[in-house]
Amino acid sequence: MNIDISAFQQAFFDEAADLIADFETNLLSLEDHPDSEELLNTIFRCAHSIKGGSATFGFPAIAKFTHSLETLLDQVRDHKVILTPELTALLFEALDQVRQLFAVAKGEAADAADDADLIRRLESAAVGGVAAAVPAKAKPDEGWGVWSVAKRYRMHIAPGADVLRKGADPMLLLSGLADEADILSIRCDESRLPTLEALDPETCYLAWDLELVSDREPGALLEAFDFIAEESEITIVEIEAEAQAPTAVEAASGPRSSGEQTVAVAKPEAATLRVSADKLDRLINLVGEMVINQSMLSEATQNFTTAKLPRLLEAVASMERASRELQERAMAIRLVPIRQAFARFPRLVRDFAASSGKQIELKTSGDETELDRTMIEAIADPLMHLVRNSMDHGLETTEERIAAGKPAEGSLWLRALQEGGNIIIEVADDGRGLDRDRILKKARERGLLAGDAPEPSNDTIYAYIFEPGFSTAAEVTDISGRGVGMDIVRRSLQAVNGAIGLTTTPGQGTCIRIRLPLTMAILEGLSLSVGNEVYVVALTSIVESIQPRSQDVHLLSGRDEVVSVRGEVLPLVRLHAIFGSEPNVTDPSQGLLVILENDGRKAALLVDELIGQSQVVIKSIEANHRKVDGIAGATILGDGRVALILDVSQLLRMNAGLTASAA
Amino acid sequence: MEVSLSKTVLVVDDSASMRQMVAFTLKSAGLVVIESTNGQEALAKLSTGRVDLIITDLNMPVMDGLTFIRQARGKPNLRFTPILMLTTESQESRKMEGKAAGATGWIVKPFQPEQLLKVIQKVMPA
Repeated sequence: MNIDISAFQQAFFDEAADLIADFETNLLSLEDHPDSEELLNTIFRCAHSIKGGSATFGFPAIAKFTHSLETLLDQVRDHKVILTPELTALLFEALDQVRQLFAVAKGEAADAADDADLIRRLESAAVGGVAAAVPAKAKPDEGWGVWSVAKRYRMHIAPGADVLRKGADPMLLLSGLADEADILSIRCDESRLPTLEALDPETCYLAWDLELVSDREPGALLEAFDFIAEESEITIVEIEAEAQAPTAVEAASGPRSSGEQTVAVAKPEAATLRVSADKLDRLINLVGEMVINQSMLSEATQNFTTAKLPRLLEAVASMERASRELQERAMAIRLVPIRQAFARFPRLVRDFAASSGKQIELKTSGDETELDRTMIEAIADPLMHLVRNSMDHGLETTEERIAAGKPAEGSLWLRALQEGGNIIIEVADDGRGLDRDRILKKARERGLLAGDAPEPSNDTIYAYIFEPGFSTAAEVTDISGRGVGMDIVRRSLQAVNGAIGLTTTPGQGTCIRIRLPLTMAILEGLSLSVGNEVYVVALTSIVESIQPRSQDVHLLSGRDEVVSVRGEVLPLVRLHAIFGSEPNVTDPSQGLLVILENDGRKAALLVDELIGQSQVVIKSIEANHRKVDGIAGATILGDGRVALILDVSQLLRMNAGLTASAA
Repeated sequence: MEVSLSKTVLVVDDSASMRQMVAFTLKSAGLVVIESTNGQEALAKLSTGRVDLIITDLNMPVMDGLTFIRQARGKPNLRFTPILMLTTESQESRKMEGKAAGATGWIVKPFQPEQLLKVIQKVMPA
């Protein structure tokens, strides 16, 4: 038998990722609590486990590197080496190297940086250098040892007939034996027992067969029975460690024949998702319920008569309940805590603070909030960008903060919370806030706003930072601000049906607010009709629906239609004009206006009528046809018709006279 | 009347991949495997049942391997159960501590599955 160790590599990679994350989290905490033995022990154990695993699962390069790391950590936890800020920095560097080595092992990176110098530095930081690294392969005949093996015995005890009269109690003797050995089995031999009439209560008729395990020699075990040894028949035999042990062992130690058999283990898929057993159990329960519902339905429809109608309706209703719940629970399987996306930031903030000299405290909240796994991946880079922006541009230097009468240490918040069917993520800082005048100037320069146009509202001005190529960073730093910032952030969020907005107060800080749907696959939408077409709009972007009076609709400079809603003037968008469809209604006062809001922009959408609210499954048009401006996707309605799902954010931008995309 | 049962092995290791590998090896050899992630969990499991062999890692959170071995040896039902400890070469001194704690034998990580089976054959009574 030959076991293919590589089958376990994926499990090891998953585990190593956790260990690396733990290592980092604890190392970060260690900076604040340098005396914590517990943190040090955990860090050591992480390094130790990574080393052990990488040696076992065939990654000698990682084992070699983590060996020097482990040795150093061992000395730190034994207080032989003092933990200095320089040493902490070295540990962070080593951790990054471990990450890189894993990326190479997983085939995600071609090559890791040469670590010879880093190993040297780890070794010289350790007292007395580092012992030779573990051999990559175990030596065939060393590497194990056995001190003492408890032996297994079979014992037969047949006390003499007179032992009871002599005052000996076999039970007592047996329990004496139990002090010296572990009794695995005991069988009473009652073959000497006479019939009841012939039974003498003072005669011992019974005998016992025992199987025991003990590290004692047979003679020592017999000692327990010295008192009755003479008249009794007591034998003890060691059961040889027969070759019958595990049968496959023989095959394993046998010579490798040409017909050697490799145990095939199904390789786990590269992308694995750990799901709590609890979630799965509930799902399975529901499937059971569905099966019951299904049979109720079949029963109700068989030989259907109108008398059965109530039962049919009941069955349909219960099927509906079960399938909705099934959908929710199935979706929940893909949900993971946002902690996974937040985990990288303590380190990022630490490194940035160290290199920039700014003092920054990161505060996170709501990291248990759950989000679709693909969503977590999709927001990783945008979040990173936002956090860097906040640290680089938002937060002032320590001197500036003190001069402005603010606490020397800047605060950065990462918050997550659920709001209805949405997840809100906020990246906030107590820095200088956005520079309104500079954004306005830049907007005019870039032609986003006509030079002579009146100043728009503050919200509109701030929203310009999400335009392509818009950056006000006076100089480009290596952290952020390459001018490809916020529009990329916004576009990657839109790709997952998310939206972004911000609030800012000069001198007090900025808060960027990201709104994400819980899941990408299903949309809670409102269906509306224009002529024969049906469109779906995400409920999250709808403020209200109104029927305007004709005197509320105006023409601006003879071409732009606007509608006044309770004093607020909104652009009027005729959906039929955008998609060239034939409407039933062209007079706004005869149709309905759906007020949409996205990215702080609002508009009134003219439609014929509202059909109703429903959950729709989003199908991509882009994947099957091409990107259509203003359309986010399509869906199939309950009656089989195809409806287009509107991309509200893009519609509003198109209407604002902006290009649909940078391209 | 003798009841013959498959041998049961308890594998105690905080590393899931290591448990997976050891468990797979043992199961391939026809053994029944139960798993624990640390000493405390293992003791809880052992309080209600008997196993034929314990294989334990040393470095584990909550309760490490040496403490586990010492406590196990204090329990009447575990006095003679063979305990094999998984160690690493950098822990040469721990081997002696393990012996004192009552371990039956040791095997150095990394090891080949075949090696593990060979050692098991030595320590587990037939």
